Amino acid sequence: MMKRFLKDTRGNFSIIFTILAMIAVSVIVAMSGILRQNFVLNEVQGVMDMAGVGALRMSVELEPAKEDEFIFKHEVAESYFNQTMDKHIQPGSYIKYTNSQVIDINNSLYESGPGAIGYSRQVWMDTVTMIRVESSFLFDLFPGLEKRFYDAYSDENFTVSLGGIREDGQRELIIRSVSRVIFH
Amino acid sequence: MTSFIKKTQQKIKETKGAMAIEIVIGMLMFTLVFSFLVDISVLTWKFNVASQTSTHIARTVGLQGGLLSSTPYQFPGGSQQYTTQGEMQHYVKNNMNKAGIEDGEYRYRLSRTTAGYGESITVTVDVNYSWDMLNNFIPGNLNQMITSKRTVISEYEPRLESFGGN
Repeated sequence: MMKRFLKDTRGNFSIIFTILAMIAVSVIVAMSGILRQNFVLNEVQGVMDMAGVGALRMSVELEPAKEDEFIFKHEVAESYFNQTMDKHIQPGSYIKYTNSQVIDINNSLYESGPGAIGYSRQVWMDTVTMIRVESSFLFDLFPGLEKRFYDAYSDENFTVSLGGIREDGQRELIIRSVSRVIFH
Repeated sequence: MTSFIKKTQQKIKETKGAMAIEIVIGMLMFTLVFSFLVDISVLTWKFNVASQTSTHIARTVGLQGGLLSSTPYQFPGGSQQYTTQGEMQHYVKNNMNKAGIEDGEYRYRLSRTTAGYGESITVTVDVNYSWDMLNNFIPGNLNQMITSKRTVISEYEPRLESFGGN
């Protein structure tokens, strides 16, 4: 009975066809997902970089700075950054959830940096944005619970928790941006 | 009529040529997936170029406080350091064309052409794209559009008054 079943060649065409169709669909779903995620990553990264520099500029009062008096307001930078992110990255049909956080924001007299001659006043901001995008159940297999980043200023690593759930049709993406403004 | 049904039944049971049909369908599917992959690679490149172009425009516009047709009066470094509208247009055209995005398939606009220190300017880049290879197999209009947007604050206070001194 089993031998006859194994030797039977009827229907082999349908099996091959089905397997081919499944492979084709998987490739198409995976690649279109990568295309969209890649674009979203680039966009969020670009918006974060712009928002970071803008926030740092806004946080330093210009007129006192001309007189060498440095007044830096953390809350202004944080608020500008969050406002810009909220304006540009909004949940919709593809992006389901966004969360932007300022990890570190500080200022100091620093020696290194592009165009820095001797010690110069520098302000910097380290930010992380987590977005949850629509994804196929087929490829949402790893929840990605945390991601580790390196902080060059403190020479230490820090981790960002994702809290992702696998096979829920949503994928978590983490984007980090570090902005710095140097005053001469 | 009976002979026709018998002949049809015989043809259905016939297995000769089944392999050829299998190969043809397999090749068709392979070509379809291959076309899709080629389109995806090209589009990934185009999307990256669109993102990078909008970031470049935004950075330039932010640094020089806008985008004018001529260098503003007393701009530090003069015309060497200032990117005019014409120069930017040339840069964008060059960048887009290299990525296979033809004139007319893209456009960029600024929310304002000049801004004082701390004022914001929004840059929007639209790119039309199509699934060129896939369009050979799937009929219909596969043209779509992506939009890349950046908001930047002006880091320069332009002086727009004309020079009136001696």
